[in-house]
Amino acid sequence: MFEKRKAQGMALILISALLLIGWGGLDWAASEMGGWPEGSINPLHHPSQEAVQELIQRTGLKEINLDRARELLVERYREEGQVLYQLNCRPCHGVGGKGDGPMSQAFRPGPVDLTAPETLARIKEPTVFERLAGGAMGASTGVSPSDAVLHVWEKELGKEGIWKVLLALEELAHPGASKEGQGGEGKVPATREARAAGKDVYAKRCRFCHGPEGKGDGPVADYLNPRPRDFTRGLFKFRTTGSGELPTDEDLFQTISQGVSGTSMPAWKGLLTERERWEVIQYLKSFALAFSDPDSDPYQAVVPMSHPIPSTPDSLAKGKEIFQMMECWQCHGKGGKGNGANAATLKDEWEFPILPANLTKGWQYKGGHNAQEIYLRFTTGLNGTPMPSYADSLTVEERWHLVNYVTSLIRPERGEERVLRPKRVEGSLPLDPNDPRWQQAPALNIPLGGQAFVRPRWQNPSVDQVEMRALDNGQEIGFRLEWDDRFKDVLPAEGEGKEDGLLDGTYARPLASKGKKPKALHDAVALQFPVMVGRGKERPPFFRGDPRRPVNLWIWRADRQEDLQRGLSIEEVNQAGPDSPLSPQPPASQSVRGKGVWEDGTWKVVLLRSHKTGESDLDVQFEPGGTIPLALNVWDGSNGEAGLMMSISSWAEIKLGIRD
Amino acid sequence: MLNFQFSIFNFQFSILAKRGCMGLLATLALAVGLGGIGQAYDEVEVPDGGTITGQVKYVGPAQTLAPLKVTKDPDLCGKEAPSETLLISANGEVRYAVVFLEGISQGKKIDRTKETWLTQEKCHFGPHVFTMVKGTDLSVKNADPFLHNANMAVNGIQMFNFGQPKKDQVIIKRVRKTGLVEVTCDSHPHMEGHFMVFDHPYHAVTGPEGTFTLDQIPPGKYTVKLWHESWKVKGQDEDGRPIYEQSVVLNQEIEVPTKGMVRVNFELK
Ligand SMILES: [Cu+2]
Repeated sequence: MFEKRKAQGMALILISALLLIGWGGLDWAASEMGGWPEGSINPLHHPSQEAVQELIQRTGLKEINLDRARELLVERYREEGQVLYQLNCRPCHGVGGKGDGPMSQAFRPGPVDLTAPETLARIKEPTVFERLAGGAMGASTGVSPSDAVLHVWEKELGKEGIWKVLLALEELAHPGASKEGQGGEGKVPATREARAAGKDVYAKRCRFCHGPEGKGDGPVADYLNPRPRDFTRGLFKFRTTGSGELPTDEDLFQTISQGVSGTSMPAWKGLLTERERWEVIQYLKSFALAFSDPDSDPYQAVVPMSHPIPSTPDSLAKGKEIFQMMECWQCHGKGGKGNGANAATLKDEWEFPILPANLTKGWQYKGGHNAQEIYLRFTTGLNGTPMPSYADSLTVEERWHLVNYVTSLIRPERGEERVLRPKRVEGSLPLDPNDPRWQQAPALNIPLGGQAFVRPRWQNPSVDQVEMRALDNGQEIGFRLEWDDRFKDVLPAEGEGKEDGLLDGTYARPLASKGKKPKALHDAVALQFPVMVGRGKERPPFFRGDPRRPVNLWIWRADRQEDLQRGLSIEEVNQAGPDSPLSPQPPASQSVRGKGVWEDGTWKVVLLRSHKTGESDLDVQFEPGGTIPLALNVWDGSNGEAGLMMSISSWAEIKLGIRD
Repeated sequence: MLNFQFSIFNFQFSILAKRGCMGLLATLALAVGLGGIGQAYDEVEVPDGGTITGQVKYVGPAQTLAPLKVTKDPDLCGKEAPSETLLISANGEVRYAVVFLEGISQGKKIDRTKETWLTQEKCHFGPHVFTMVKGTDLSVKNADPFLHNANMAVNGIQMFNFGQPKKDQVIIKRVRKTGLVEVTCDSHPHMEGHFMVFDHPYHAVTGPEGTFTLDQIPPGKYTVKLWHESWKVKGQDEDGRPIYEQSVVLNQEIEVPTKGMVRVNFELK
């Protein structure tokens, strides 16, 4: 493939030398040849003479052949493109472009699978370029036009940056590039050849996060919380071996194959062949000295595995008692939401702040949440973290009871339902979030992901789901929003990060990247509606609308509720696109009432408003029988979230009843 | 970051101290002969062995470090705990320094019947500093009626981390690695202890008078080393844990005479 590129590059030297292409001066339509990279019009394939000369000057390689210099330059662009892709595109499209990035679950429609035959392999290069440069907000996907997410990247990366990304994506545009499904021959022996092959896999796939030397310090590392694993200390969380022991090859294979839920580590089974996964294990073991120490042989330290005990009421009761006695709640909280007294001060072996797992969210169990996996966590502990082994404190049977109890805390997985149906009630609507009438209304779980559209973009959101219920008495509509939040944050401060240079990139870096805890800010939530509810599928872009289609936000702030001197705890505002200012409505127009309550790791916030306000140019109007789009923004203060650093959802819908 | 050098193998082994030096890459070439990986020690009769005895003293104005803030379980543990990082008597004698011979490969028999205990009581690891021999057992007891965990890192790499939720529970672990071990409890950020694991028996911890004795040493030339946790507080982290300067290592070259005694004093300044 490289030879082909080289030949093609040579064939086009003349053209490029003559044209000395400026990034803006290309005629896309005329260049469409299809089947890129062979027919690529990417100007980076044809570096200018100046650029080549400059490289020769800079590297001091006077002897270098001009063609070789050009190849090196293209490879450098490709490398830069890969880093740009991993920094900017990976959060949604995934490390390998499969549309399975850590934020892919949050949005509907989800990010495109760039490896699918109908995407890059089919779409003409200029079209891809334009899509990336101009964004796809409101692009015609046919379903819900304004639900597409891709933002305008030209502003961030420039044309050259986008071409670099395309250079990096060429492999995916090339049909047959995927080697998925090969292998199956099992573990490879620890030979020099296997390590060398693993090194290639590592260089292609792993180093962007885990760093060139396995120190967990790749170019993406500072943007992720939790950080990518530093392999040099031989500390691995998910093992079948005792506390402090190394993992077996099979343990590493399991983690690599299934990924680490709730983090940026993807499941590699769809991205690497089985053989590649075994090979990369042989390579990454070379990063930690301990793997070559015969005294540290993990196979001598494998813990015995036994069979689960059925989850009977008796077993659950015993498990609950063990949860109390073992004081699991000191870290994980009485209700298992990861909000115990220790939660605020825990640190990992690298001195980075670390939070105890929220045991009610199965999809956040990093090592998986089947019974055996949970059993292993109790038995072996999670090396490198404060989670200790309980092998010395609990019998095998007791551990299985605890597995059953912890499993019973897991709530149902997030579903696909996106329609909220208010429950019709008589009388005034309850302002108290704990009023039992809220439980009569059907619940809708809305997934959220990081704000990925405008700076500061955010890929480490804390809140990934909000449960919503609605009540309607014919005059007024009420919403109750409930979400997990370990800490009640009520300080009025407005964000951070500038002084630490954390906002320099297209995405913001978490303060944890500096080994610090975020300063506590305040928790908040916003309900977002279109100001005008059109007929059909037309609706504003789901993140704060656009100049033609403004949105109406109801923002509730915990700090102001705590101290009303600080301002309105609930404020109605309008916005016409994320780049435009938030416009608070005048005092006379403020008509939303509400209240928030925080208890044991859970916020419950009620917001009430009459159906009509008489200000249809500012406020959404709830017409009987209507379908109203609704989206959410949530801020977790102790995760450093404020301003545009937040969790957001795409549109859900409220189906209002017909008036009786 | 500490830079730990195992002199025997002549490679540099970078580690991060679990408590402390985050961000500051203080480099210290510790030629600590802790036995290293795979270092063998032969137990032989030592009929004509000599003795090293001495004292560790602090030079300079006496000081006491500020007490540690206790954030949990104040009923039993109080709101503050005295720091044991630097304990100096009125005469300047330093407690809790470790004195040991570097890289000794043969000598007296190891007493494997000696029990090594670490007790968590009133949110405190006791003793604060101790030594033991690789391949022997460490018995860890929780004397408190609530959860502690003993999170141990040897040369910066986690060795054991076990929860110990029951009062008077004893957990026994065979220690299979040599080096400097830091013990912390994640439930009580102020709790901290240290021990050193050797593959030979020539090590001691100074007592309240700063004294130590190493005996039955085969005559010959040795490097005697001193390790002390540190005494300079650089600051504290967001949860009130003090951050210390890197630990201190001192060396002295000495010769142990046949059946004789050699005096070795160390000064911390
Ligand atoms: Cu403790």
